[in-house]
Amino acid sequence: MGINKTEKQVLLDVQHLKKYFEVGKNQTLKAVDDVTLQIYKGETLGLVGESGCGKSTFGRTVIHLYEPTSGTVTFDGMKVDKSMSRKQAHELTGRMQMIFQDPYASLNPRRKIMDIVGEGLDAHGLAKKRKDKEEQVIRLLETVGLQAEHADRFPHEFSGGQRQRVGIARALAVNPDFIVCDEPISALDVSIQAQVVNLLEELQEKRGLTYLFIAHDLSMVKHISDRIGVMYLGYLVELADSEELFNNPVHPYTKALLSAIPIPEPEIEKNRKRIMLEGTLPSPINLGNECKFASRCPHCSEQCKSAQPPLKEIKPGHFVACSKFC
Amino acid sequence: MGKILEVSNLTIHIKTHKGTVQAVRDVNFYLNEQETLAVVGESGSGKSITMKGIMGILPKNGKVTEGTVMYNGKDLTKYTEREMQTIRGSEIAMVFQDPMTSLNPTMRIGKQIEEMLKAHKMDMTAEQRKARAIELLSLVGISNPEQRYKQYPHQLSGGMRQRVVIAIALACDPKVLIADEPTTALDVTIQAQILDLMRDLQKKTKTSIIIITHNLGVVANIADRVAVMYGGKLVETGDVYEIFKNPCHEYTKGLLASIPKAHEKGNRLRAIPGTPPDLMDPPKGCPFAARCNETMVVCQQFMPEYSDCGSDHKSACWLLDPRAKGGKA
Repeated sequence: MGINKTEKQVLLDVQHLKKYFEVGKNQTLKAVDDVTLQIYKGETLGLVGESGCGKSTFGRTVIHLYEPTSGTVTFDGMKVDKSMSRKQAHELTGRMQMIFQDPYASLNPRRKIMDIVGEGLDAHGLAKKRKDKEEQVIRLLETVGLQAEHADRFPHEFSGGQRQRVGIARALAVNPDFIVCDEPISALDVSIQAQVVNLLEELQEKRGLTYLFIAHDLSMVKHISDRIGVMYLGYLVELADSEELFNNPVHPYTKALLSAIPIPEPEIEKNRKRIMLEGTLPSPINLGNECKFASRCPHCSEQCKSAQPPLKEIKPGHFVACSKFC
Repeated sequence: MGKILEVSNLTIHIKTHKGTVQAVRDVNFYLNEQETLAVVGESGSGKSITMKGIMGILPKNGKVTEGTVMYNGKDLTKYTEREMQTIRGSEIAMVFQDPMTSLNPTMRIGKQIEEMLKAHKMDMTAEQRKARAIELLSLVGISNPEQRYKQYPHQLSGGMRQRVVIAIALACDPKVLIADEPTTALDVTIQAQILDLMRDLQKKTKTSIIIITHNLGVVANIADRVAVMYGGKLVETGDVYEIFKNPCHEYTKGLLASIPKAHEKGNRLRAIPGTPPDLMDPPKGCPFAARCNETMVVCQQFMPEYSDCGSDHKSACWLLDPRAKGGKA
């Protein structure tokens, strides 16, 4: 896991990405608001935050399932937006793939695994003959720890963990460089989660994959990610190496989020002092100009209410958006 | 502290068109007064069905075929439906996983709390019920209880709804509260609030709590004792510190090893290979034998007895048998 820092090469460059949804009259939901970040080749960028903070929308906008409201996404020198020609868009789907959260909803129940996994091969003309396709699908299934005979079955014949493996095999079929993993383990049991995470790590080592790993289970994110971004109400509030983020969190929201994770060791957990956040996530509709965290922040001041602070680099590679602490 | 609830040899079968699922097989555990017992296990291990069996709310095709549930010296499995209704809610109450679906969307939350009082406290007047409902709302940490009283579930956030569900469960001062994954559907920051609330309420109301969860962090946070279920069987039970420091069953060990520790970094997670057994045709021996690293011939053939691993710490594993001597067959 991890790459040498001297040879970092930007694979995905996201600049001031915004994705707004119109929800009713004069109401705008700013799901992703001015997010700028880079993802380097071969790394795993973890993205965490509470539900409704826009992390999934970010992932979907990045691989162009949504058209951004403004801002740019550049993938390996290629602009990802509606100006792409059909050929470019086609090429892009061969290089960027997605693994979805719910393995029960993301596989077509009426198609066999062979067709589900092989669809990408057909679409990209990666298999010339039927036999070739079958061989490739079987090889993919074996890569993700399933067996050849599974190709002839339907999704309902599999357990949750196995279905997620099918989802991974489908994403791998077109041999992508970049995979968006949108909460790939949150629907699975603890003992199965570890299997899937190990598989993702193994594949990354073998194929040099780059991951955007979206999750709300922070301990798992820390385990798999090289760097972690924390989102709050559509805004990226902190971004740092995963060790750095866990050891020296700066933004008050990151601190509260980290302190909320229960540690599976009773001696530590029962004697820990928590930073408790007051209240719940405010509605993301029609937010004002103040710092998005102002309403729940224990350190909120007048300055925080006047403007949303920009993301600033406080240490090499450690970015924080807070007017108080940087 | 005495035992308030004791479950012995509980066996529950569920009939389906494909055959009988032996969901719970010979489960034994007890709950002390004012303590919190965490029941841990993966989906399908029988933890929810066990609790439904205790409450007498099994699905129509499910049946307690064996065993007893002793509450206050009486066996609840012998109770008729009518007798159970006097227990359910007033003596033993339940909180369910998903606060979005366990509240009635067309009914004001105040009325939903009063519903419970109406059913169990017949002598209360309407004014008393309203006062009690508002009192309960403020007890579970909801601000402006008078206004919230009149609101509908959709006007509240997920964490608030779970607070309302807890308020309903506590309405009649139950002795035992069974919480079935009360924080699974919530975000971590809200989860921390709800766990805090439950610990706080336990101190105030002296309730005994059974919490079902698969999050070992939650267990470490709230539990006094732990019961680990696997494949319909209870494989290990003991004090929370004991279980985390000195797990005896191979499944418990695997479970603890498979979670990344937030404050330390390892290279690869130690996953447990394979999948849980099919309870339609459960294995004859130890349910974990097929996934266990230390499996022996005897494991596949016979279910191990419970062995003592410490004071009040029991585990059902052949490796603990004096005849095993740590040698693989």
